[in-house]
Amino acid sequence: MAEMLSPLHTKAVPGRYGAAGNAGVTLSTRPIANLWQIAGWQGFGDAAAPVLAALGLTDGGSYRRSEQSGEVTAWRIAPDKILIEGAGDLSAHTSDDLVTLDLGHARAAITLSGPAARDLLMQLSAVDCTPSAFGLGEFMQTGIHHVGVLIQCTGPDNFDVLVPGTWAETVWEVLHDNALPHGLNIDEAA
Amino acid sequence: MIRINCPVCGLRNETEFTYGADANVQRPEMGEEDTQPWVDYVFNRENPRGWHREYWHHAQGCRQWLVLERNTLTHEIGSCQLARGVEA
Amino acid sequence: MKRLPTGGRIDRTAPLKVRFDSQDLPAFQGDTLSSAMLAGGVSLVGRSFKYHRPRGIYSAGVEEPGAIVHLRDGNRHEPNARATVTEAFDGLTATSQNAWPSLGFDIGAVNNWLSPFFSAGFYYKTFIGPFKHSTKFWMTCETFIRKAAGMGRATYLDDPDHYEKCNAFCDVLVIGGGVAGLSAALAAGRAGAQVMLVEQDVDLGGAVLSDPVSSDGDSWVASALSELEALNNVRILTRTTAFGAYDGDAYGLIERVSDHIKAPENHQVRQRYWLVHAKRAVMATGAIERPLVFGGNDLPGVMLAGATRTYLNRYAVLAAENVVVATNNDSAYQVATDLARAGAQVLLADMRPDPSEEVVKLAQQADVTVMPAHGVIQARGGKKVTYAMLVPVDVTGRAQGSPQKFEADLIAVSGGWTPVVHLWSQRYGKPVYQEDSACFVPDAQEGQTLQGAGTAAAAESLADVIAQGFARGAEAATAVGHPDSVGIIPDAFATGPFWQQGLHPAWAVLTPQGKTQGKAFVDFQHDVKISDIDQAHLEGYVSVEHLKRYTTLGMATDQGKLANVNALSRMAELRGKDIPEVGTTTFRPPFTPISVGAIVGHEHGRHFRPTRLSPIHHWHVENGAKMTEAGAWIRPWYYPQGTEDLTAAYIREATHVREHVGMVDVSTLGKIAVQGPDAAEFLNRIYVNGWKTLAVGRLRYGVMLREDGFVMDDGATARLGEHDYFMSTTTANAAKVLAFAEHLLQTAWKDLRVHVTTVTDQWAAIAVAGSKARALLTQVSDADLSRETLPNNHWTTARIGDVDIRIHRMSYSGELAYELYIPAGFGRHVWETLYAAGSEFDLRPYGTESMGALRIEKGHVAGPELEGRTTMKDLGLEGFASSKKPFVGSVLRKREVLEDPARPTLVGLEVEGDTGAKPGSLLFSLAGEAKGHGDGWVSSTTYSPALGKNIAMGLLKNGKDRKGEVIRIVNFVGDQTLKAKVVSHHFFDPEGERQNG
Repeated sequence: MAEMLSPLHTKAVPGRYGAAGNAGVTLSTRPIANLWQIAGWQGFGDAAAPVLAALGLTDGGSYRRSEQSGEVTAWRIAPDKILIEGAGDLSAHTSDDLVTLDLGHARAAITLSGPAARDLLMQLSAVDCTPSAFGLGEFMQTGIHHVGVLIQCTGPDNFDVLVPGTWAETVWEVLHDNALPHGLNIDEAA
Repeated sequence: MIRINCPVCGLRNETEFTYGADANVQRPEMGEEDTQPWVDYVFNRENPRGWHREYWHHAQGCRQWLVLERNTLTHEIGSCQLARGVEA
Repeated sequence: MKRLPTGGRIDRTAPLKVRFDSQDLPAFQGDTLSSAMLAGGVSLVGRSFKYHRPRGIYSAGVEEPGAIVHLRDGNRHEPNARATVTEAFDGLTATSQNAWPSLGFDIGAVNNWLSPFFSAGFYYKTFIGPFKHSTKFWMTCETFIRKAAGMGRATYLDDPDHYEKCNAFCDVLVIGGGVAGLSAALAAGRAGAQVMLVEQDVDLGGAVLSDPVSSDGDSWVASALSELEALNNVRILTRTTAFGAYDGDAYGLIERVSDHIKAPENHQVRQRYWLVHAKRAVMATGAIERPLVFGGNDLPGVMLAGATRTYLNRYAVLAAENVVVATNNDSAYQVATDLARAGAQVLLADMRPDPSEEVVKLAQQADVTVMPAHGVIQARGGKKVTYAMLVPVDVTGRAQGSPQKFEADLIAVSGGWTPVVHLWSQRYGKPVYQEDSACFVPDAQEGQTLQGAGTAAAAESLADVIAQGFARGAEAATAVGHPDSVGIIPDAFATGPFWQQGLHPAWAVLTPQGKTQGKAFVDFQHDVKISDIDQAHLEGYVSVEHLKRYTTLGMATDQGKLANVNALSRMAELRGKDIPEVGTTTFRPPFTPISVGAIVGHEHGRHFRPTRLSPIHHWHVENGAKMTEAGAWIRPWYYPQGTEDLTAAYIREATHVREHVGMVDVSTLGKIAVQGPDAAEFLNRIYVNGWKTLAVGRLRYGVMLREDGFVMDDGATARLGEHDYFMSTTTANAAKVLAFAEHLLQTAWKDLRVHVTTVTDQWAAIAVAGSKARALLTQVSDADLSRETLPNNHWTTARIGDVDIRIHRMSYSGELAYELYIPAGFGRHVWETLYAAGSEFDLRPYGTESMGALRIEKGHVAGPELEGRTTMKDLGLEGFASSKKPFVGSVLRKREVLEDPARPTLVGLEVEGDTGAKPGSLLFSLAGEAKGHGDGWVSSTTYSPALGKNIAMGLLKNGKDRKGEVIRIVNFVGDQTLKAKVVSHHFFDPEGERQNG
């Protein structure tokens, strides 16, 4: 069985780095089981509804709040595009009104947590990541080090950063180096 | 710092966007065979003192093209809409 | 100069080792470098910019023009630091700058005697004529003049420290932590707004810090601070300067995190650059005292009056024992009083004929001698003040009698105060002149999101300062949706004569003829004298902006914080106008100098820009590939064997592909999924060739134009399904093509039901090329790759081991070749599988250099030819254009100028001799002079192993008709001329027999 290699396979070296004291930031990676994009045109909502329903999701129409059901997460990333993780192969839903695209190898997931996680994000992206502006279950598409990323808030001070795979190392290194003043802990990849 | 209220992503810094083009010019129909309409579309621009409509691309965001009103005199930013929702 | 035994805000239990040049200074925690200098008896700190005149400590703040020094050494060496805002720390070393061989004996001081030659407009006038070849001569002179005129010396060593950038968002940003700022923060904080309060000093309190310890102000500040610290919606940053106010309510701040210690500790940053997005801001930036103009007013020992009081009360340093205080307002009376009480002999010369009884009484009670209607016309001394020459003056400052000599080692001057309006002005334009307080103030208007408060807005009393701050803070909170109660306004406390109280607008003391007695400066840092303003006026300079540039007034690192009003008033006087008519210059960021490191943040070294890596990247590195940059990508350049250099390696690799089989990582190609019912129509519009007939299972090469008709990009697109296409672009143009496609679909072609999505990251791609490619791939995969089943421009799915991939049959090298598209996570696995299986086929990896050599041999265009100035016709690609349909650029490509037959067109060049051509070289006929732009240029060049000679591609005028002609290739940069024969650019296997095999 061929092993699917994460773009970050050389990066997540567990250990304690940077400033002494309590680690402000913990970095790690997690695998992306599968990731599909569904897209449509006029009437996209109607075309997407059965797909979402089959996954136990509804389209809340929000560009800020992800939809979740069990292991499945859906992000409305544009008026006519939804990104769905954890739902398996969606190609069977392709029709004249809906196109599906496998992006399962196109992203790496960096997980970021700790009391300084929000500070670190605000150093590197120009969005407000304070708790009142960026809460659990919410997401933002923004830039880190000039790379377009999707950040999902997964806990009080926990985030997943979905990065295009070929940019993953550069984003990791920038997160890593800027986390050193906060005290950095790197966990074993999930 | 220009702050752009992306209809999808919310209020964001200009650093996430790239400037596209003057949004007042209308692309000729595909079948247009005369040169002048294409020359006007590609090269000829007004240079207004005041409000201007322009395309911006949310390249590090939702990747939508937006039509933004920007005042060239005061740097004020006006309305911002999805380009697809704007009648050219 | 001496340190007093008691008092001050210094910690006498914490002595510090501080050194200036060769002198140890008696410093304590809480000192600045300048207060330690004064305590140590240092009066001469530096030499001036132009005349190398002695410079001492003139102020106690950011406005300092004289006490400018080098800090630290080695790779932390820093030039042009203001000693007055440099916190003393243990181990601080500072050295004087702009003096050689020593501060005391400075050869450059000869400029002082040559000063008639260095007057206003010196540069503009001097470097003209009168000699033959005068430009060259003056350029030589300039080297020496630049060396003599200048400030500090920067280090060439890398900065070892880390800097970071941080975004912040708040409702109300309060700039300045004095009484006004604290009041504003209290009101906004109590109302519930998210508040940031920033202060450039290490301590909050502003002017209160210059009052004696334990005064009423101290308890006021302590009480405000304890309330603010208890509010969790208020964030206080000290050692933080707001240097810029920008559109969109963005503010630039620099927080000096570790400047006050010898080196950052425990991985902390040196400085932090904050970009604050504040819905509202209150500018409570205070005011800066204004100098007086008289002869020798730049001598060490002339100091701002308020500064002498700061040194006394904050640092317990009595700057001198024999003091003349010169003033045109009330505020200096408190200075005189405090100095006298601390033991100095104080004589106060007041330019006003009738100072108020109240202040005179205050002074006399402290044994200060008051001389109304008197001014200092000249300071005398060598390297520091020894005498003050006093004269009786009229209301305009003209001498009314003969000068009298008074012994003095300090002349404390006060010409009133200048509100710090910089941030407001950066944002909203020119401030307005307020006659009654004789200063420029913000032109506050409804709707401005940045408002001034306190002395920055010319408040009239301390109660007014508090009221303004409190009101601006409350208004700001209300405006952003926090109308909660702001509680009771804090009471005022007692102070001495306030700010510009009683100000009389006369700033210069002149002879009865209106001249200065000796050199009198307005800009101390840039050595601009009153006489330079006069000269500029005589030469017809009217606009202040021109005056500024002609005289360099206000262009030094202090940006005219002290100079402006005095220069403007002189100009107004000369022009017979008043100051508002003359106007003021434009304020621009930064307010005070900021380090480049802080702006750069982490974006240097390996983070200078983001880099992009192929999924197979680490195999290349582990296997010894030399890597190269291609845009953001890091790609394998060549795989050296033994001691091979680039040339040897690429020739070997290219030869190997032609003779055996090679593989190259082409994951960097741009890949775009084009999906939807109208995908074929979309491709038909965006490519020049037709797409409606392309069947599933096929792929096709296509060319794209820009709207203006020039070639944008090329690449192959495969039809994967009914409504599903896989487009490839060149590595360089991937982002541009995607954004362009999105633009067309979201603006002009909204009716097309098509989506474009980048899948560059989804797929690793490997090109396998060479006559053994089919045999190799047939062995490792389950695919039928026979010529019949998979001809050129077809694709098939395949499995290698348990990995599902796609194999596209197409060739870039001209050999039998396939492109493998592999889900990125399996890219390395497939590469290694091929590599292992390839040993029996003698498979070798090859890099971008040999890939380039192979494509040049085949005459394929790439980045150097698709450079934005070439048309299809120029490149011989016109045959691809469909005449049956319109496409992007189809009309404008036919513009007359683009159809000109004389345009340079693509040719091949066979270079004579052993030396290859350099890209960018120009092409000339054999006859005639090689001058001008020539007949064209070389675009790509390589040694061709297949042909055994150096070849190149280029664009040549009338290229088609010149086949067989021998021309010259001239490289003006390398001074190299080669001869070459013009041939077809399809150098190798023009019939394509190898790739179709």
